[in-house]
Amino acid sequence: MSWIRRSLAPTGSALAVALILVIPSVGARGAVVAAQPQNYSVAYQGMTLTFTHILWRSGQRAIGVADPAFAALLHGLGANMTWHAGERDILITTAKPEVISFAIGDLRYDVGRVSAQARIAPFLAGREAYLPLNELLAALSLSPIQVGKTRLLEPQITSLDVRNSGGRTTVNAFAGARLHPRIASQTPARIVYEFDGVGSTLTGTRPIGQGIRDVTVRTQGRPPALRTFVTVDLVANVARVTPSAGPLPTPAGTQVTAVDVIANANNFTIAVAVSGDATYEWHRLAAPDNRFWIDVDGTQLATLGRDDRWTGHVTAVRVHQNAGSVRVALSLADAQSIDVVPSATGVRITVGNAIVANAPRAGNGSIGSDVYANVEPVATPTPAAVSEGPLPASPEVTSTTSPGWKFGPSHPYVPTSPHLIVIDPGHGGSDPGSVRGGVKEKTLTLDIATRLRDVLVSRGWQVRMTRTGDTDVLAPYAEAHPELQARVDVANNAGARLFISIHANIFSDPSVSGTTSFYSKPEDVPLAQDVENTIASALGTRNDGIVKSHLYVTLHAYMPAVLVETAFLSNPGDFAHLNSPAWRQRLAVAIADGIERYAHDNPAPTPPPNE
Amino acid sequence: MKAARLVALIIVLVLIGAAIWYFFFRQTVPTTAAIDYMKPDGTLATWTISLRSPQPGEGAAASTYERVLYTAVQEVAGPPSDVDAVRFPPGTHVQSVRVDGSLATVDLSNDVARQTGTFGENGEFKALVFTLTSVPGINSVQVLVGGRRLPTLPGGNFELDTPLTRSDW
Repeated sequence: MSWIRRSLAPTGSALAVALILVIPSVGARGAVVAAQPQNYSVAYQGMTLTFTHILWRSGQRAIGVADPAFAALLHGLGANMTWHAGERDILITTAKPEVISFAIGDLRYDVGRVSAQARIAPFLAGREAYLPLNELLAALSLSPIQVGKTRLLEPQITSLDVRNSGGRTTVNAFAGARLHPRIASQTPARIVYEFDGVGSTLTGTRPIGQGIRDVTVRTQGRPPALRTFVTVDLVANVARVTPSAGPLPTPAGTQVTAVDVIANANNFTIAVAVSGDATYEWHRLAAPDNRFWIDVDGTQLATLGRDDRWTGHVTAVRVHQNAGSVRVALSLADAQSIDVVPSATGVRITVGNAIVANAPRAGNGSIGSDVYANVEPVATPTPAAVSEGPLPASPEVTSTTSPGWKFGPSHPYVPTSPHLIVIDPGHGGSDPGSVRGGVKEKTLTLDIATRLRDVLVSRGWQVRMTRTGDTDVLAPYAEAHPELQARVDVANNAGARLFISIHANIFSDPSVSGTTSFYSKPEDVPLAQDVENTIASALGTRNDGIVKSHLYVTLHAYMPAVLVETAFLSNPGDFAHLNSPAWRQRLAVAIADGIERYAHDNPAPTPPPNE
Repeated sequence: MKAARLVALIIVLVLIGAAIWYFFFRQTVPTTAAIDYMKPDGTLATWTISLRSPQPGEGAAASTYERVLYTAVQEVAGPPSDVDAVRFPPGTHVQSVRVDGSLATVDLSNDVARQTGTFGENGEFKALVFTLTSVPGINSVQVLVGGRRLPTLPGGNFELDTPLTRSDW
């Protein structure tokens, strides 16, 4: 009745008001009186649906939205209805997805962006909304057909989306049923899909482009043995990309995971990162040869070898794999002083400016298993301890209700451990994260995080990982919230300077690629920017930029934090990168470079003098 | 004669008044709504849907509710299938909405919990919040999943237990 209301209400006359009050009530009563409940049975996808909430109006069937068979039909279609008593709009989201919208009293109904006029408007009978049945079925891509004595609901292909992207051809067909196509025939230039028991409102041939010459749709047979064929003719020589999904190589034994050169005016440092326990032996030759080398025994080189030329006191740096050891060799211009300092995760070789006579010619040592060997130990509770009871109150922590910063410190954050960086390998244990081709995000993130740890430690940073193995941080199968909180607790309780969370992305569109650094707080921005920039410049991958988002770990870390989505598992190119140990090593070095650039430009804040 | 002039004058004034009223009525009732979606390159774009005219006598609160419901359902369904967009996981639909002042609460089906990665999560919820906060009077959006308030989606990173605003992006 609302069309009557709309046409009369603008006059504003008393008469119109009276009509508005009277006509709907008469109409509503009329609908109920005129309605003759009647069952309506149809065959659909091998089952019989009997609609019992059927009313007639103006010679048209209307179906009640509470009809159990209607609910079964929607379920079979993968469609969902949004309507509650008292609401005007009856909205159905199809599996396509597309929204079919009816409104009480309105002849207009919409299917996606297309509007149409129904023969009867939806109406209320009691508290149940009734929809025009024929229009509803058509909107659901179903066509009622009488086959002998059987009334059949035949699914119709009403939409076909064919596209070619990245050498991959995708055909999406939409009909009033879950489709189970089979490939009828296939050649390099043509593929034919067959849809049994399905008709089509689309017929003929349509040119597509982008590697697809055209698509042809034809139907064959009669209901219920109707078949629809979709033929895709490809342009010759279309490149087809079949991404390989090999397993992530498993490290065998102790590895030299990074060899970084840090050169400045005062000295020249080579940081060798080692993944586990190892011994080393070094030698140097007397002038005028002035060569130095160090062998890290029992290790494999996990990064690329190098042969770099330099000017100054060090003229060359070479890194290569020997039988049973990794050798790092330096060529010196003179007899410079050399310091060899082992740490928990590597060894640093520092070449100074001073000329040393009678310098030692050899030495050896061991690389230990304590991560904090060359730095001040950091007293941080283990994640397990954190999970056992309430957190100790921190004088810096307040609870506010401001959006997105609920537990933040009340004044600018001052790290109590300014040399400590917490690295969070995303997911782990019972949570594999994203998975593609057997490659799990949790495995990749742990590998990258471990490499990053090694690089940072070799550069003198303290590092704590939220996990060092394939484990959950809090507990297996814990809910996401406490699990994520346990991760940020590692950093918050330790008073860390930075929090770095490592992830790998995934998306339904395989063409999406690149690295994104997510942040949440204003103080995260420079860190995210530096990390993103160094990754983009070092790896040459697509720079998706820094993105502000409402992510749990970056929101709840007190300190500057960044969540690095390193690359997309779903993109063939990125996937190949992620599966490359050399690429992961370069990535770890790039992240470390970004962290150091940030740290250089943003010194750690110090407590106010009165504290 | 004088009476006829008076009647004519009244008719003219009524017509002018009706024209003015019609003009302002058309100005204040939008006939379309912009639905945001995120493109695969990470930028926001919009597509337009046509709105039904409000029912005469429909109050502002009811009108806001209808519009929040309609745009939320359209937003979650996403733009036409031939448009490249970040989309909610298949099957995700709006179960109900509620409007309390400037807060719109949207209850999504459990299908939303199917993991889509940070890129997808960020794009989905950003588009939803931007679409709903474009409804006059709506400033923030609380997302429920299966009728419950969740801190994050299972296995996800995006925090959902507080109302989201545009400033979260």
